[in-house]
Amino acid sequence: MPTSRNPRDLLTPAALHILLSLAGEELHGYAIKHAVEDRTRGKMSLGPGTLYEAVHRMAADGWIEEVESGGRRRVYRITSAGLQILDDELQRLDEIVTYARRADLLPRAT
Amino acid sequence: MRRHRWTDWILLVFPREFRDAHRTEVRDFVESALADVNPAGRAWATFAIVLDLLRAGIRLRLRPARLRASGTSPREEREGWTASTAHDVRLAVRGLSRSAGFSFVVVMTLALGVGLNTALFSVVNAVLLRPLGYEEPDRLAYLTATLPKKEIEDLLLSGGDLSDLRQVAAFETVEGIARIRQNLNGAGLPRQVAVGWVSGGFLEMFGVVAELGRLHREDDPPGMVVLSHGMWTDAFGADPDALGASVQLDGYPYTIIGVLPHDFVLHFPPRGGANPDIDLWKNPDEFWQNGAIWSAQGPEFGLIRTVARLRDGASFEDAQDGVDVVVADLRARFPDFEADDFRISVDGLRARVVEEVRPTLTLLLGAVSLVLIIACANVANLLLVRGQGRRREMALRLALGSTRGRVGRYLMIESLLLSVAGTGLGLTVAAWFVTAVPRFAPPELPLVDFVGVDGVVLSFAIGASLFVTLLVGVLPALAAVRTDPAAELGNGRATGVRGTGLRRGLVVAQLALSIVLLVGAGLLTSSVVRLQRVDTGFDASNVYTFGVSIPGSQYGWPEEANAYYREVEARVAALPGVESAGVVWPMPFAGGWGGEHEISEGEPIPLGLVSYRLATESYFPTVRIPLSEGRLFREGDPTHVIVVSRGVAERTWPGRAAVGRSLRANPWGRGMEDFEVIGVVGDIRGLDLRASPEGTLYFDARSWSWVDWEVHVLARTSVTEAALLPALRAVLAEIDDAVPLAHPAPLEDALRLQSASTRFVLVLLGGFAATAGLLAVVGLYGVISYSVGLRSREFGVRIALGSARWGILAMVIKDGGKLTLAGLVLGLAGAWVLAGFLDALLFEVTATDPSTYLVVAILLAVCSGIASWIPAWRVSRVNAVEALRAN
Repeated sequence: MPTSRNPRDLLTPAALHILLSLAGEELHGYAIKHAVEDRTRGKMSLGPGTLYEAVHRMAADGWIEEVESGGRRRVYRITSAGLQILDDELQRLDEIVTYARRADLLPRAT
Repeated sequence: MRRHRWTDWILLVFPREFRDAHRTEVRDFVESALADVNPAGRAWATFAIVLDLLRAGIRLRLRPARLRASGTSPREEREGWTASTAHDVRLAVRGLSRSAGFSFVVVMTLALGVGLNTALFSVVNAVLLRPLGYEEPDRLAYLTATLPKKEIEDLLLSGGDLSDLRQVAAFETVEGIARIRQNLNGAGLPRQVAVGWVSGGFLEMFGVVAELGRLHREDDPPGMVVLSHGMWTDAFGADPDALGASVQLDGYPYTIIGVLPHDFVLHFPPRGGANPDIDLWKNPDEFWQNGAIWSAQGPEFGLIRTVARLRDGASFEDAQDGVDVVVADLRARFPDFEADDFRISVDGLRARVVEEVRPTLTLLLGAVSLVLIIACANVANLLLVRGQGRRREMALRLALGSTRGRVGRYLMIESLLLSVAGTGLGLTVAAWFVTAVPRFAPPELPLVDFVGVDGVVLSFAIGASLFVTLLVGVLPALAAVRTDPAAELGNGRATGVRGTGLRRGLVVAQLALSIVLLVGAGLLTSSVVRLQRVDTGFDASNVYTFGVSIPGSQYGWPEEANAYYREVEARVAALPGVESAGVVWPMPFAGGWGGEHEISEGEPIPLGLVSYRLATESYFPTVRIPLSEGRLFREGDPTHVIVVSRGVAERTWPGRAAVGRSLRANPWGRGMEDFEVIGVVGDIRGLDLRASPEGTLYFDARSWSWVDWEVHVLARTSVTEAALLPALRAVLAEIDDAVPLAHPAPLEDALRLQSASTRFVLVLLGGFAATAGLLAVVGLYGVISYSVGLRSREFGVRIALGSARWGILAMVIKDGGKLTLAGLVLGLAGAWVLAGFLDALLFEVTATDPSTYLVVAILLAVCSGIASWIPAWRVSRVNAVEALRAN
């Protein structure tokens, strides 16, 4: 069993979308679900398990943190470490897309 | 917002630290998510959420959020255990997907077994187990009055009786309800509504809190109504201003004082059919024709059903003792009560609500648990077969240094994985079933709205599948652990076929159990077929019906009422496409009305109870009840003429003409009166399809039409409902636009409802039996093909030595035949013993009907024959040389 872990192991589609949602604003769990649904036009719908599993892991790794809020619901925001991870991942995706475009696997952006 | 306590259960799958951190959030999430979907999609949404939570929980367990620094804490050991388990899980997944056929059959078997059981359990849970949603429901009692000598159950009581019962010390409160139908005006279109006419404290006794406004109070003046939530939404568009508005019931003014919450439903024992939901609740008043029923000094005429709340600490026995004192007093005061052995029994409200369906549900639960047992046997069989084939693999693992514990654990993990997949699929089956139940459940099944997948049902499903896994997963694990590597590996080819006896026994048991279920389903099928073929004595096809009731405040009776009904009849009959129309009360299968009749010539001779009906002359041709003697009613007849049915005529005047004779009856509660028989018509079954035709006295609607009470209008027509209904509404609106058209439906619907509960049980039992039969035959096929596989070398030798292929074929089929025969004998005997439980549902078929048994035996024999013929045929085609070389 590998004991060290590559942060990217954890960047599941759910985690990526959560980071994306939190990059703009501070949100509570159910609001994240709605944000993801809006952004993906309903193609991705997070269940409670998937959502909080990712939240739990990312909070443990310091990518996101809880905001002190007076409300009953817990609100999360992205940390600088989380932003870094998100940035890396978007870079990586961008490289892939750029390559795919160059190789004519994707229609070129207009 | 509804609490979903099951989330707490599922959270147990997650590691503790996750639970502590996110419990409330997950709960809120689930609540919001479920509140956002519409009720129809809720089962699916619940299922998706459960699956998502389970997956995430297992992932978190297997891949802990933080890998801790190595150390000596027990945690580290647990990490090791977790890691090796994760490894085993991955291995098992790979292994199982390699033998996809095996995994598929096991998972499908489990899914059917667990799914059907969970599905039925969800019904049992809602109907029999879940508490009624009232405040302290266990203290609510239903008082059932009976007149055993007259065979009257659940007699309706009077206001005087109610106030007597209020003296019983063990009751905190005793409240009454009369269920009536009235015309509602002043809230959009006129409509007929189900009214709960209740004593002041009735709603409060259930602990219900008004969503808007307030409930009735004991000292309220008459004329106060509380709306059901549905009525408020339907008729008032959920407008808060409805509060304080005025409406008319049968022409009298009422003020709306409150609206009930949407989840309040009055669950009440059935009384001659299911109870429709109540649309609005009004307190006692004297407006209606029988308003005096609520007065303590009122007439003996009763319309009230009573519910009581026990005083804290009082028992049902205390209450019964108190009620017995009241009953003794009533019997002393009213000689009729004494003569008819009047009694009142005090029972729990819930027990009375489900009393009639409990035996049926228990029966179905028994049947479906047989399916689970068969599924268990099937899975055990498959695992044993697989285990047999893998003894070398296990031996090798042991020889290579794996511990017996580890090998056993690996096998358990395999079984668990299969069981998790089976449960998941099973829950899908159950979720589908739950959404389908309200559509095909008979109206007699109470509490059906509560059928759903909740925490209890979920625990049941998981429990059932754990039970299966432990029961059947342990066997192969133990067998493998006991393997002796030296013996197994030393002897290059394992020849011993252990556990064959067990497997054959399991197959025989499966066949036997499935025969029991198939016989049950067969008996029900013949019952339903026969019920649908019963000669009712009338022709319900192409007859469309509706109810209409005119208010006594506007119409005098009988003349004005008769004129009104005649006009409706004539205008309906004149509609294009309508052949004829008639008025009757009650129409067949829409309630009962009846009383005594006696011969009136000379000394009156009582003839017992008989059905009464009020009818116009055109009712008879409309439903094609034939006139066999005399004539029907006509204009100018005196008031006291009747038409009797053939059964009455033959019993009363055997062998003699009935027309012109005279009969006494008491249709109006004023005592026995003389009626002259003018005609004899055919008998009908209009109360109970299963009973013999009932004798009926028909009274002339011309003389006896009534008000404030519904009558039924029937039209013979082939026009479609969609075209007919607006025309019928227009007819009523033209005559009097305050009178609504009530519950329109084809007459055949009423007829179909008569066999609804038998059909419901048939659908379920039939499904269970078909599943059971399929599983048993698949099990047989599995065992035969496995043993054929083991003996392929032997067959090869036999063929090589000149055995005829048909001989081998016969040998294998004979082997399967032996198992089938044993299963048949045991199963038919078991069915013979158990089919008696179905008696109440059977119709014109005895529980030991030989032809049903024969058909089932042949059916199963044929299927089993095919199941053994396939592997037999395959092995008889083997090439001797290949068979010998391959092994």
